[in-house]
Amino acid sequence: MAISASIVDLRGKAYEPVLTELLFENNTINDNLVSFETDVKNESIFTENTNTVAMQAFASGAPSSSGTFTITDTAVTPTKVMYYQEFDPNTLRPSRFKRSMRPGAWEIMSTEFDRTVMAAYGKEISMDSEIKFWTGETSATKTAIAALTPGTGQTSVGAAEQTWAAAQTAGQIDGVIAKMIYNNGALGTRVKVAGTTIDATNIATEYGKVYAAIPAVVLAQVEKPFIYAPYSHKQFINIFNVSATYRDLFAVDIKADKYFYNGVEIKFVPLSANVVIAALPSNLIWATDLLSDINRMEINKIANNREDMFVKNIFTIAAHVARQSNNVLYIG
Amino acid sequence: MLKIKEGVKLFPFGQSKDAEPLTSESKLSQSSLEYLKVKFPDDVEEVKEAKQLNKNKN
Repeated sequence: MAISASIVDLRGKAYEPVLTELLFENNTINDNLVSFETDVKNESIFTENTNTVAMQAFASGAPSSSGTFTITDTAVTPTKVMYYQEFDPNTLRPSRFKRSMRPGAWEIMSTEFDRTVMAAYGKEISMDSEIKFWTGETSATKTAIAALTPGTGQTSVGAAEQTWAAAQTAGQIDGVIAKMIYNNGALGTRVKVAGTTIDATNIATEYGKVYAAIPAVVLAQVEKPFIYAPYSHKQFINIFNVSATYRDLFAVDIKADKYFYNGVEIKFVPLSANVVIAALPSNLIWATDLLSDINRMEINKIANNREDMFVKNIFTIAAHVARQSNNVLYIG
Repeated sequence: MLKIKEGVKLFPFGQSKDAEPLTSESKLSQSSLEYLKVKFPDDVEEVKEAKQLNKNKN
């Protein structure tokens, strides 16, 4: 059974809180850091439109048509995934959790266990789904990226990108990074930036490369782009600022937990180390059936004639990256 | 030709639940190995190609 219990039989007192694992919040969902396409039962079509126009000399006679309307549809099908564990609450009978079990030999459910352990388990699922949204990679995509010929130009996969793909454990979905590198059966058209290992000493230089690579038209939009960075960069930025004479590159409001580089807000998400993305939030899409499915767990007896139980969570998820050529992918 | 040294496990993008260690068994392009050589100079070594080794034997 899945309860790996190193329990001590409760005879005396138990320290009141159960010290659950410290986990990051799912900021991507909680703070709406990307766009959400919900109510996708099976498939959703995303349409991108680019047009060209051509000024021509006026003619009184028959004009000739010039210019193009280009419409590209992408069908996104979220993958149905689940988390499932079985456990035997009877394991907890001698433990601290017995205090919150109702009287009677039939009663082995602990409200304290539900409130602490199960709540932390749900949080873990939410965090795991967020990690997969950003860094997930399927086996097929991993193989496809490995088969590309690496090069330095925009139209080749970068050595760092290819190494990143090789260094991920294959999973159920392709996340944002994988979709930026390999999209719709071909190399993604992201703005590629070859980076290096980022630390507190070089973070301003490296963010400079990301900022410079953002297409000017993206910065000129009403909707503002974000720089998506790994959690560790918050510490690097704070350390960098301590020794910086002028703190105008990274503007930080520690109290409000707001970070900016050259006016572009930085959002900290579970990206791989040395990976930074700059994109409009509307270009990064989390497609799912119902967003709150992530927080919905079913806990029940495995069968009516058994006392052991299961906890199950089901949801659908897909990451879609729109307007690929407007998004910057830095890997170092 | 470059290869990761035997017994070495590399995590160029941090150690996390979903990170797979890169080892001498990982199928990596020479470009990836050159990239890793810059990051981990002590853990990636130059090996002579088999043809060269045979020539040396003779």
